[in-house]
Amino acid sequence: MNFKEAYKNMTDEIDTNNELLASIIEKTSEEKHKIVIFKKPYLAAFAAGLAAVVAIGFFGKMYFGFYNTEVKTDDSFVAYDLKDKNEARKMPSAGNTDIVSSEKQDKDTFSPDEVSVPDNEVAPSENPDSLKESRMALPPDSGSEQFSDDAEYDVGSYSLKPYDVAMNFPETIQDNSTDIETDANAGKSETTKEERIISAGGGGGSGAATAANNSVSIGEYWEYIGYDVLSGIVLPYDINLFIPSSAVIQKQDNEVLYDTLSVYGKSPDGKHSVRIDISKKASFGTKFSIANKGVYIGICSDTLTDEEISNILSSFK
Amino acid sequence: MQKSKEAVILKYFDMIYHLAYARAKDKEIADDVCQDVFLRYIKTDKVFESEEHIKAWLIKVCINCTKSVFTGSWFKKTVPLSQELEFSSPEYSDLHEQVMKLPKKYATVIHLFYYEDMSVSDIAKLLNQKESTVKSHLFRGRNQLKELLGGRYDYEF
Repeated sequence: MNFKEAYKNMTDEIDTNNELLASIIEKTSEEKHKIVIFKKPYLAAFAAGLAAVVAIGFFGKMYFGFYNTEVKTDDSFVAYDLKDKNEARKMPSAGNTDIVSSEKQDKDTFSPDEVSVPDNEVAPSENPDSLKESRMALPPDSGSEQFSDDAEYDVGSYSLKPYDVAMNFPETIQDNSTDIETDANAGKSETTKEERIISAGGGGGSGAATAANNSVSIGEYWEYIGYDVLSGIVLPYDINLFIPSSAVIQKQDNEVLYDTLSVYGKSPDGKHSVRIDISKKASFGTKFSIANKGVYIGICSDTLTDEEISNILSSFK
Repeated sequence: MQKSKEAVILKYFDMIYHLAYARAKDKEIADDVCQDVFLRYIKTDKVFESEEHIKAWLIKVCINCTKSVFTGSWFKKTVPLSQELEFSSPEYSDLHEQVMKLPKKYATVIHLFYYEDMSVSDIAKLLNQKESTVKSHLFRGRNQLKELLGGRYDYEF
C-alpha cells in the first residue's frame, strides 16, 4: 500500500473545526465593516471642516469688508488747524486713516479720486507732483447777484501743487480764495475788534460759511506781507514749500494788532519737514527767528538740526 | 493578485489546520494556531503576487505560530489530554497513532512532502533550512515510520 495515499486519506479524515472556520469568516466581514465605519466619520469631518473654512472666509469678507478701497499713497495729507494758530498736526503717512477717523471725518470723502479736507484744512501730499485738482466749487463773488449770506458754499477740496519759493501763488488759488466781506458785515466790524481768517479755499460746510463772512484772501495777505519774503530762501533735502493755506489777522479799528502766516514744507521722501512762520507785527521770540525787510520770520522743525535751521535763517538775509 | 480573503480562508483552512495538527499533535493547539494564522492574514496589508505566494505565506506563518506555541511557558508547563480520534478504518487509526509518535521536525517534513506534495527545495525554503537537512529529516522520519508500521507501506512514489 502506498504511504502517501494512506497518509492523505488519514489526514483528510481528521475533522477540522467548522465553528472556528465560521468565526474566522465572520471576523473577516467585521473587519470589512470596520474599515467602512472608520472611513466615514473622517470623510464627514473633513467635509465639514472644509465647508466651515469656506463659510468663515466668505462671511468674513462680507463682514469685515476686505474689499475696502485701498488708500493710495498720494492720499496722505497735512492738516492745518486755525484754532491752534496754524499749528501743524501730525502728518499721517500714506494709507494711514486713523488720524482722519479720529478727527471724525467722513469716510466717504477719502475715496482715492477725491480728497476732502474739513474746516479750513488743506492736504498737501507726500508726493505733491502726483496730485491733481479734483473738485472745486467756488462761492460767488460777494458783489455778484448770485451771492447770498445764508447760503453755505461748498468750497470743497483741492489738491496743492508744490510751491516754488521764487514763484508767486498760482492764479487758481487766488481765485479760489474766499474774499467775502459783505456790506452788512463791514458795518458791524467797524467798531469791534476783528479777527480775520484768511483761507485758501479750504474747508466746507459750516466752516466755509464762517470763513466766507470773515475772511480775506491769501493773495491779499501775501500782498500785505510782501511777496519777496521767501524769495531767497535755501532749504536742505529738497524740501518743497507748500502754498500757505491759512493765516490769522487780528485788527482793531483798521489797525492790525496781530498777524501770522505759516508755510509748511516737506522733503520728497517725507523724512524732513519744516514750518516757516511769517508775521509783520510781532516777533516770534524763539531761538530760530529773524527779522528781515520789516517781516519777522520763525522756523520750526523736528527733523532738521540746529545748524541746518540756522543755515535756512541765514539765507533770508 | 487580489482575491477575496474569505475565499482564501475557505480554500486553505483545512491545509493550515492539518499542518498545525501535524506539528502540535493537539486539536486545541491546532485551533489556536489556525485562528492566529488567519487573523494575521485578515489584518495584513501585504500584496500577494500569486496563489502560490498566498499558500507559502500561510504555511510559513503557521510554522512560526506553532514554534511560538512550543516555546511558550504555557505549553511547557502543561500536559495535553489524550485525544481519541475516530477514523473510518483501524488501519488509518493505527497510522495516525504512529505518526503522532514522530518528533515534530520529522512530522512536519513528512506532512509537507506527502500531504502537500512539496519538493525538498520548497520545504527547505519554507523552514529556512538546507535541502540536505530536509532530506535527512525526511529519511529519518521514514525510517522511524518503517520501524513503527512494520513495513506495511511503500514510501516511494
